Amino acid sequence: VVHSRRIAPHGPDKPGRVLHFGHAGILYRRSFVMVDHETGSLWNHSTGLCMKGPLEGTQLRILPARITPWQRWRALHPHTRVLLGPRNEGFMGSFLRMSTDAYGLAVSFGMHSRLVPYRVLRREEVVNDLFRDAPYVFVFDPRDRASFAFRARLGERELHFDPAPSLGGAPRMRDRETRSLWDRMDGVAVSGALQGERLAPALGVPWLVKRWQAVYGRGASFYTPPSG
Amino acid sequence: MGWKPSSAWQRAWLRCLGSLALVILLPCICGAGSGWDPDHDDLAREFDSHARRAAPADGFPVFDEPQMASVARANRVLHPREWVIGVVIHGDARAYPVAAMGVHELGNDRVGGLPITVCW
Repeated sequence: VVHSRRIAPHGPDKPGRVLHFGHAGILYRRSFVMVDHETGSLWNHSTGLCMKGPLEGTQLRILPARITPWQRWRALHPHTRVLLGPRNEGFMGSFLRMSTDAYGLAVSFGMHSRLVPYRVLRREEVVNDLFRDAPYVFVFDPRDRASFAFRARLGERELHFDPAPSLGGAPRMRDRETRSLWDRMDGVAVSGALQGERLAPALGVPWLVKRWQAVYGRGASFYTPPSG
Repeated sequence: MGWKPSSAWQRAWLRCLGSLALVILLPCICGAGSGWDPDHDDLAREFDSHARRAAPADGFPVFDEPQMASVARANRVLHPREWVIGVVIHGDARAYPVAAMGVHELGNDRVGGLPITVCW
């Protein structure tokens, strides 16, 4: 998860500021806790919500990020800079060895979150869903099991998607409204009436499902496939 | 006409069954099985009841605006199929290999002029 460290002013005596985070050494509902060195407040690293301390209730802004194989990332961003360092996976790295069925992709607003389980996403490859009355499309790339989410709206037009055959290895999808063809992982229309249009990325975060349920509590809801 | 417990052991047995039913049903009645409610529950109280110390504070090597490597150098270290967390802000692209984030768990950085924190 990637968050902005800049918090907005939240009161006459509480100006905006930039925070520096450290590891509090505390686990909260299976999720580690960050501490900001400016106020000593405690934050859930997964949601960016301050749980305790002077900044309690403050929400860090989640930023778009994706988990993807190195070869795909460097092809998309040939001038990227890379963090190199110790590489023994550490404690949290062990989660990489868990079955992907233990994970899901979630979009969230505050402490409300919607998750599509990977076992569903892997099977369907393209999932249309509504969260807080906004349309989303969750997509899956079978080449490297990467997933992503977009806002499924262009201006006032709501779009719904179905998987389409790959071209040159790149997975695609087609919208039902105009039959335009889209690059599934970039969210760009590559042919048809909407060619050149781009979907806005949604802040999709991969989660261990059990941890996600524990952290969001009653704010958590699963995608349910349409019946029939 | 109904059955009534006639002995002390029958009354004790009924009390035991009643207690068991209460233990099983109470969480369902109160909604405790469905988790906490972020819209109504007190954040700090919720935190205190589910937080526990697992390591010393700052016991992990959190990074702070680290030196970043070029693609050419990273290619000598990273496997092509290795997972990275990628972020682009104002055209500035950064990759944080998951294997490295597993060690750091957390870092402070500045990308495209924006101060960010990266967590795994």
